[in-house]
Amino acid sequence: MTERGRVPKVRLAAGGSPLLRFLDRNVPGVAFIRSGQRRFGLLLLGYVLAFVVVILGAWQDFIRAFVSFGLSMYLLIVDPGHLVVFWRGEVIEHWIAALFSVVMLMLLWWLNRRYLLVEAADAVEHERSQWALAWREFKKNRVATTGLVVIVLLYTVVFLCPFLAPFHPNAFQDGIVTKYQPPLSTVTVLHLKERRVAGLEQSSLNVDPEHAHAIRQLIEVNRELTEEGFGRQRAVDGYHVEGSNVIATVGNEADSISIASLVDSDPDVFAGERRYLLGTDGYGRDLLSRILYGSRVSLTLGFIAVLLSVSLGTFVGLMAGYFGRYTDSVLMRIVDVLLAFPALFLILIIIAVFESVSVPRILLIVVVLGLTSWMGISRLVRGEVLSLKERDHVMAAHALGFGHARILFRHILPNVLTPIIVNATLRIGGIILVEAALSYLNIGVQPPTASWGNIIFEGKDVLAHAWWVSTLPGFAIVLVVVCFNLVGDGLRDAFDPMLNNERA
Amino acid sequence: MYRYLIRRVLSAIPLLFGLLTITFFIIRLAPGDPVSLYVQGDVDPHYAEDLRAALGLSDPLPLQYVKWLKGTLTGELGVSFSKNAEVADILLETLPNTLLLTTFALLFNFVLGIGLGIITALKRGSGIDHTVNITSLFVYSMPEFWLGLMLILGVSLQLGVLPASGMHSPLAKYLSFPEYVWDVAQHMVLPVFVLGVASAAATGRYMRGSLLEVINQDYIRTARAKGLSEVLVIGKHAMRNAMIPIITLLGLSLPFLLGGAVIVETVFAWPGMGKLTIDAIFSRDYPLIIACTMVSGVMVISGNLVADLLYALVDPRIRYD
Repeated sequence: MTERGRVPKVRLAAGGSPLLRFLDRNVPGVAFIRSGQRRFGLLLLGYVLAFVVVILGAWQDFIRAFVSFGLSMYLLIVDPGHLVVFWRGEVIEHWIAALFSVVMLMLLWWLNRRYLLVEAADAVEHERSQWALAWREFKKNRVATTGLVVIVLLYTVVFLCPFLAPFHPNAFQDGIVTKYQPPLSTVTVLHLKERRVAGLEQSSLNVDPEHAHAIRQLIEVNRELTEEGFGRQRAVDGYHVEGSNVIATVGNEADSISIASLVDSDPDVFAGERRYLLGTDGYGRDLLSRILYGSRVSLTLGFIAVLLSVSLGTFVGLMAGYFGRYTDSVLMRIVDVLLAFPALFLILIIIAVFESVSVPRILLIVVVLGLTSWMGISRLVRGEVLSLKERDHVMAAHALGFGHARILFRHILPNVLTPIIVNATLRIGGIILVEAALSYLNIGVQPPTASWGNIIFEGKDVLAHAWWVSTLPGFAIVLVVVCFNLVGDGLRDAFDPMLNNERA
Repeated sequence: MYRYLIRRVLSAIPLLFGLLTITFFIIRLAPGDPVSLYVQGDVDPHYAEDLRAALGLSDPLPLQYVKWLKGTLTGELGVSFSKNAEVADILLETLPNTLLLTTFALLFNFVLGIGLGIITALKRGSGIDHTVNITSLFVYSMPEFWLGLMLILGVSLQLGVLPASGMHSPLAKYLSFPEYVWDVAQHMVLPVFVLGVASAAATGRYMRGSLLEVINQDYIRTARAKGLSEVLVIGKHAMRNAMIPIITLLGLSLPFLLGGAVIVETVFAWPGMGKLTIDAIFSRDYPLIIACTMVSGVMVISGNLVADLLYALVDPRIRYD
């Protein structure tokens, strides 16, 4: 979220009560609203409030995540052996979510304060770098800034999805009842007293009594956090009370459950409803949760793959353009050959062929996407370098006897950064589309990990009677790609005001 | 001109050679034994050995490479592992289907793209311009497979208008020729639309930009001042120059179309090369994968070549010697 770093400084609105001034300093956004930058201030304030709302909404998980984190750290020091035994990898996402929300809040608070406090020393204003100018230009473009805001929100969702998702993305139980529930539907659930599947027998733990308490607590907390199913719930099509039993209908069958095993004998208490905002898939998994978790794959994978391809493309382009002659010919011929592969073929071949190698599938896809999409950038960079290396400042650097590395990275690279950044932003959308296509062809991210592409894949055969499974994730993809394209276009216009809206 | 043509064709050969070599080595250096797909369980190990020898997989890699190269150059593409048929025959069967799809998609792409580009350029800033621009942005940002599914859902399943998949109806072979053509045409509408529409959005954007640039130039004003009709000014004077960048797009859009065909053919169960490639990749059918890559590579390279030549044709300022 680097764009927060380019926040303009604010002159505090003069006067005001001490309370207002306190708010100015401690609630990000307020000072901006008061000093006239209303749009930015409201956005900032809304963002901060969204964090607060999310934390309050999921405060139980929030606290548990910190307890889990704290206990794990404690055990890591005093008893790492047992920590390994009881380690649950899934809790890390909860730690990240909890730490992220706290760190983000602190960061926003600090940035807000900092930009207010340095306001006296106006001298800093003079650095009207190319970046600052571009940012000012970019801010004028409403559509592009909207895109940027949506992207920031989506990346926040990526971090916070354990708190935001109503259910675990892979949680399924009572599939007969819950499968293919349309959007906005509800399912009746009975609340059970005990977990349906018993957990690890704690008494059998052979633990050093000194840390036993901490370990038990960690296990309990982690289990609460990572509970996949609806351990204490049972979804039914209908129920009625008969004596001391509840007769639950599930599909064509009736099942009798003793009231004693329910949380209460009062139907208003033991029966409840579970709402699926976006419906469920064929296993009865909540689609909203899966789409939220699926954003992690698409957004992080797209970002990293582009980072990889841009670095590689830039490097090759720099080398080819700067050293010229044979280096240039060889590298550019390689580029030509790789460009002669139709877009998807190369990716398909490599992934299919290296499928059996034991690397995580996500890593394989990132690397392959990165390695097959750098050619365009390297051509672009090469072209820029060819003209840059004849410029006076590069000649001067040569004359001063600087080494190649220094000239390349200090004198040439900074001048090609803007086209690279614009190109990279526009590329992320494309990469996200390719990743989704791979998942759709069933060679992308493998189930049960949710990705937008494989949710669509899972729904394609049931289009006729469960349209929502394939339809809804598609909107998520379109939203993200549109936003990246908008931001990319906005950046291009901002960096190159001459081009402005006249063209495309 | 001829000399340029010959030089360009000659320079395409190492490109093709590189393409094939890369494919060959990616596939052969990969872990995983294709024979293990066909020989499973407790079959006599000698059988696996024999099969490997028969398929030429037991030779050392450089030898395999030379053999394969010789075969390719003499038009012997080998036998498909999984379909047990000559690769060349399989390709002859599927390639026309893909060509049919991509040709119409290309046509659709350019007719729609150029049309929209002209309209939006002439009505710049109007409601139409904005609507088309926003729609293009969304179409451009849509995954092809999703658009395909949505069309199947809406048009085929809900409205029941067009067939959802395949290339012809089950009983197509009993149809008379015009009926057959009509049948295939109906099946083609959705795939062609999906394949062409995203590129049409891009083409439209280019066309708009290119025409806007031309339209403000002096010679257009002169043409108008001469009293020429607007149709003639745009159609003859402006378009001639505005089309130049679009022509290059023609060649460059081929790789995207072929890549897209992989997806679209899978979505619509179109019996073309894209679907064939996917099947070949999943069954580790080396000869077939290489042949598919080669064919698509040839199409891409010749697409670029055609674009270059057309470029020279429409822009007499460019001289190739």
